[in-house]
Amino acid sequence: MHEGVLKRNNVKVFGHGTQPMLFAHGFGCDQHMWRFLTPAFEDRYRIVLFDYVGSGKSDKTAYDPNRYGELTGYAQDVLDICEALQLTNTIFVGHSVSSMIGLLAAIQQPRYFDQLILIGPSPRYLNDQPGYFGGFEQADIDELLSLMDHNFIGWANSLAPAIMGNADRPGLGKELTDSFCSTDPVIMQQFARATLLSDNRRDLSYLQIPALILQCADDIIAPQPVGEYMHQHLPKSTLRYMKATGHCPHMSAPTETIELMDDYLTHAMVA
Amino acid sequence: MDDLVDQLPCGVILFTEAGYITQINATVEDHVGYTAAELEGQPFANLLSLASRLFYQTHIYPLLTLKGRVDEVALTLLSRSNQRTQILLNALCREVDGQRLIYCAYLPLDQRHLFEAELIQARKAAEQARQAVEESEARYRALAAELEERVAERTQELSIANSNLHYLNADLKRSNENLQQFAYVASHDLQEPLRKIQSFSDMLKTQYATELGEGTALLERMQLAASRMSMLIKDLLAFSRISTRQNTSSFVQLSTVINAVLIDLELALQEAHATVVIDQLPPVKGDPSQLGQLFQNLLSNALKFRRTSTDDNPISPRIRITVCQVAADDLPPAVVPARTAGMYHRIDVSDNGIGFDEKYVDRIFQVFQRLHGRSQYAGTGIGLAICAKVVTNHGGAITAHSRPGEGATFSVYLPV
Repeated sequence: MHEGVLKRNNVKVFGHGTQPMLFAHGFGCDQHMWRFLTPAFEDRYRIVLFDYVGSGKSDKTAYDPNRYGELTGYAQDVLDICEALQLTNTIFVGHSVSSMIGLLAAIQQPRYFDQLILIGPSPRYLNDQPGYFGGFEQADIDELLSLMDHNFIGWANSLAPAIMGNADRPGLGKELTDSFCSTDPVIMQQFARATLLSDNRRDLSYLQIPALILQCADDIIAPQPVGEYMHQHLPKSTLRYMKATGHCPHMSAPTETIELMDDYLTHAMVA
Repeated sequence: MDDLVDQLPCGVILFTEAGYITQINATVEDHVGYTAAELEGQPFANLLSLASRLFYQTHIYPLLTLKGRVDEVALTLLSRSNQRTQILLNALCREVDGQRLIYCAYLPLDQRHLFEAELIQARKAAEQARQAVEESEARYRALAAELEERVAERTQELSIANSNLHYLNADLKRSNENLQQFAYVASHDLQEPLRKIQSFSDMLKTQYATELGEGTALLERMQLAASRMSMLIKDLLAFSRISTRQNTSSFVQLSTVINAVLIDLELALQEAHATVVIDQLPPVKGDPSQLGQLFQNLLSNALKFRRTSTDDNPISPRIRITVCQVAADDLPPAVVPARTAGMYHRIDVSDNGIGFDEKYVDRIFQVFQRLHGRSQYAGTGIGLAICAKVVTNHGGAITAHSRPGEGATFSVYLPV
């Protein structure tokens, strides 16, 4: 079972520390996105990287549409890894949707976790007027799904080789597959739906673990009011505004991200 | 930008790693309706639809950062007047004067985008059809397997039931054979001592009449009892023979059968001044001798149970035999023929005799059941049991209607 989980989620463990730092990638990418952060922590922590089932180099045959139709299925991936590696006192670092996945995992099994570091979190991406601005309308989600169709058009789903006549040009499908971190369009569209249609606002108050919220400037996916909403509803949360813009400060501004994380972890230790 | 780049029939955009536009060519100005001066320093993402920005942030930005380039990315460009243009974009990272810049070139693909959309729809439909076929095949296989299992179960049940039935049948046949053997042997062996009693009592009567004196009367009563017993045994034997099914597959003219019975009963009919009126009778499938016994018993009963008037004079029996056809659906509920058929002959034998209370109708067809004392009306109580047996052997049913003092009608139903 444990071996299976490590292979299934393409789990990588390294670093010289003892306290685990578990990095969970967001929708649309894989564990490679953490490469600018991990060098700053691997001397002091035990770094754990993985790909969600369906993303990166995970075992796609383990994909179960029922399990991964909701974020709880992905949270189970996180818990499976904690269980397999016998993690305790874990610092969970989640980007984007992985913030909510980590939240669900930590509510379900708090014993694995010490702190959550949430980069660009949002408990709900759809607007819920009046009173809640998530940033998106249903029509935007539909357009995204169609856009994904067009961007994954060459990717070989089960029928594609027959229809596209790719059988004698196997390289084509492979190239396109590698051009995105995430691969199977059907899986990715389901991940998109699970992510963008989720509503975890009611779950926030149940988190017992302290959490750091890193809020970027000009982030259309997790706008500032959403970060503030998170901070307001997460019982033991700290909110830090970043100079970095966009949705991926761990890639665009790794130094600032590392400083804020270190600052938080040092204070947490003192406290 | 220089003239060449401005004149290129594709959009060219340069922006910083943080996403802020530094340059665009004239083609982009045309597409989006902003001037280069207006766009400089603005976020590149502002030129995209919201969904495209989402896709850019989640898919394209990480790839550009990790791999330094993206190829053939479909996005939606948003113009100043909110017009949407589908584009295909290539981008790569270049380090210029210590600063990382993103170089983008894109082509609008409106017509091609529509073809693509059609292709995607067709592929999804094909995928759905394939899934539907797979599902229906799986369902078919599951149903077939279930059916097979059920058939196997049922077959086994039936085979067990069949073999049980087979044993029961064999048992029944054996016990029937034993019973007949017994009846035959019993009647034969019982008749023998009776004959002795009769012949020795005859000898006593003729040779020792004077010595016996009044004892002769006792002797005569003894003889009467013996001959009655002999009759009982004969009737029993007849009943046990009827129990075996005879050949009932050939047609028999009922009129011939009944005429023969009338000849047998001629003397009795004359003595009683009886009148018999008979309808035109149909042919029926059956055994002539059994059918003869049936009507012999019915007609004898009609003669035997005749009424006397208030002044104690016998009333002449009037017997009618009538025939009609009855559809299976119209049979009275109490009439359950031994064999299912669409149509039945109903043959009524009615008389003007003493009749009986209908509450006894089930009893009268059982062996040894009598409604009257022996002294009043002779008989062993087997006649109607034989009738019921014959009718059952012929796949029919028998019933009777009557009221005390108002005659009786016996209805025989035989399959057409």
